[in-house]
Amino acid sequence: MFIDARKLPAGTLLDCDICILGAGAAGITLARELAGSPYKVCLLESGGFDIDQATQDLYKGEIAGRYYPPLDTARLRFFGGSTNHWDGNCTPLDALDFENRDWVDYSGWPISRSDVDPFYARAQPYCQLGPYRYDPAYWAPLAGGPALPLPPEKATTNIAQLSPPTRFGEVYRDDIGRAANVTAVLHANVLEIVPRSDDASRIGHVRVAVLKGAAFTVTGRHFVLAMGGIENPRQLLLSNTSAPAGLGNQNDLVGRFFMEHPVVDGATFQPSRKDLNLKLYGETVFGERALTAFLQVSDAALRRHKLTNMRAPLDPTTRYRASVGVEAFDELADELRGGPAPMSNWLDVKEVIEDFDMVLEAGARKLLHRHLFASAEDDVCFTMDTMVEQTPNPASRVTLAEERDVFGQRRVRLDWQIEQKTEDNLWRCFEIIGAALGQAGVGRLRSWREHAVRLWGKERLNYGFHHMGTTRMHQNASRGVVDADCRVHGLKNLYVAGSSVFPTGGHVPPTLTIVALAIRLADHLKRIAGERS
Amino acid sequence: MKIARRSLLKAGSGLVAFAALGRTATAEPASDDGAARLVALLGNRHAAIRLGRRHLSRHPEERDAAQLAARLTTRLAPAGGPIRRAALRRSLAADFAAGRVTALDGWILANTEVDLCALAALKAPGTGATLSPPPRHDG
Repeated sequence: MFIDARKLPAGTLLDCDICILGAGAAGITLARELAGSPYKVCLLESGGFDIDQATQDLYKGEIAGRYYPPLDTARLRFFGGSTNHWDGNCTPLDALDFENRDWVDYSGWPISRSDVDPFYARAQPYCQLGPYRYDPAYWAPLAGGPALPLPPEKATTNIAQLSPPTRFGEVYRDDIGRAANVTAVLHANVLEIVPRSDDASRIGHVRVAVLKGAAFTVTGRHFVLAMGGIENPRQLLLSNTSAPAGLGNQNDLVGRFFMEHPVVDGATFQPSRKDLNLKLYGETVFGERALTAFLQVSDAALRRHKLTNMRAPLDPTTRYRASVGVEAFDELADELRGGPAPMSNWLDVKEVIEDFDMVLEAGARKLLHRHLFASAEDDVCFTMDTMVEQTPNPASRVTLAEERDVFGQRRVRLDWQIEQKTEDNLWRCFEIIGAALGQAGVGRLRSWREHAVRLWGKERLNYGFHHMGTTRMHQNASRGVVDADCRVHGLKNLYVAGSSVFPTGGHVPPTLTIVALAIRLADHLKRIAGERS
Repeated sequence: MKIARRSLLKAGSGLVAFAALGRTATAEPASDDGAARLVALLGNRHAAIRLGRRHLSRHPEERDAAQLAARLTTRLAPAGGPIRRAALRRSLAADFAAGRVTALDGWILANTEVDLCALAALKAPGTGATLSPPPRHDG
């Protein structure tokens, strides 16, 4: 059942067994898993079924330090959350990602990949994916080509299954609406999570405000914070009536260890021959599903060289399109198509001028008969838009800004910091993959390390919009905000769902893991709610 | 960035030549001259010369064609006789396997092919004067 909070009378009190705050991938998965259970579930969502500017504005925040895109564009605040702009790329974290790696400070999950495997398998259909198989040999026949014969002591091929992508708000809306035990309340903005007055270790209720409506209260036995990797710590920090530093923040860990997946166009692969079969690395469509493959450094090499990982897809490009001047020309053309806005990026203009012969050549090839220039249309090399694992860094953090939103709540302040070793790891990984490609006799890799400053700078760096680590999981309360069950240390009935619990982020997009952990948490909640019953 | 990328595109075809040796594996270098036979293993000499010049500018001590040729011959035909492309392929794979690699202009290359590039640069017209290593100066 859906309720519009704008229509609730003032002073409304909703009561439930399990209250989920936020209806993104994690919140919707939790609600759907709990649908049909004997427990009364309340799912609170700030937005409605479509994007709304006033609600989206609540996501505005302050960027401190390193550049990051505006926070109200980096995530979406309506039913379905950021799955509404998700691109659908799914791969489970590697077993090594869960391990305590002595060469990666603050690494180590209190659970292993084998603990999560059953939940990954259950997460696959949630994301409308194929079977829980990520071994290249399984998919090679379907793709029509094998994985590159890379030496396993150096590099390996991994699979990404491509979700349609699943817009959780659309795909699971009817399921949530039909569930007799689930009440989804739209336009409900949580202001504070409030412990019970008689027992500060238990949450008693949440205070909820509505942009065009009356405030109300939700009481419950268990609460799950599922608002995303930036909003989860903000909400804990804002909930400071009984704990001045914020809930779960007794060790000053809430909001720290913010991690992203920087995406760096850091290398190019030149195959040794035109007929090299790279079909597995293209997009293989099967039914309504698809998959692709990417390169990564092998587990053995990561251990030997003490590195963090990266995910290097092979994106084919033609000879003339791989000119920086042509790229810059395209970017300028895109800007101009959007209207007579001033050219914000004079670097593009400079590059077009300096690379003018290549731009002219590309223009000529587009305008003239293509058969005259058939070779220029061929995909001759592959760019590697590489997703990078960021090393955990306590100085990279989310805090509260001084500026306040329309509810008088302090906005969020993001100080994203990347350690130099994250960058160094990437270049070393390219060297290893380059050597693996050479050893296999399939081609050569060119790393753009000499342009590192620019590639990691504002103009060129890309982002996964993956917000991780800010309520990290650790069995020890002095090193983590939540325990292995995702329960906030020091609180008996407050849980966190989403990528904010990741102690390390790996090198793959987080949504599949978010969904898997949400299913795992739902099982846990069903178990403990049953015990209490 | 731009210039480097463009040189990538131009140098790219040359590097294809390195890895494409298998297609003409039965071909034997034609020249009797040792260095020339080695350079003949390269598919795109222009790209190799450019990379070789870059390498030599960073390592002027290697501006010795005779020494490079001897080193390559030892690697590729240790028992004497003709230098086969298959031996080059094996040498490249062995270099990569053993981590004998050099990042040259961003390319991750086997040391053997870097030597070949350097030799090509030294044998190229206009760089003949640099066949011998530069004189050393004490102090």
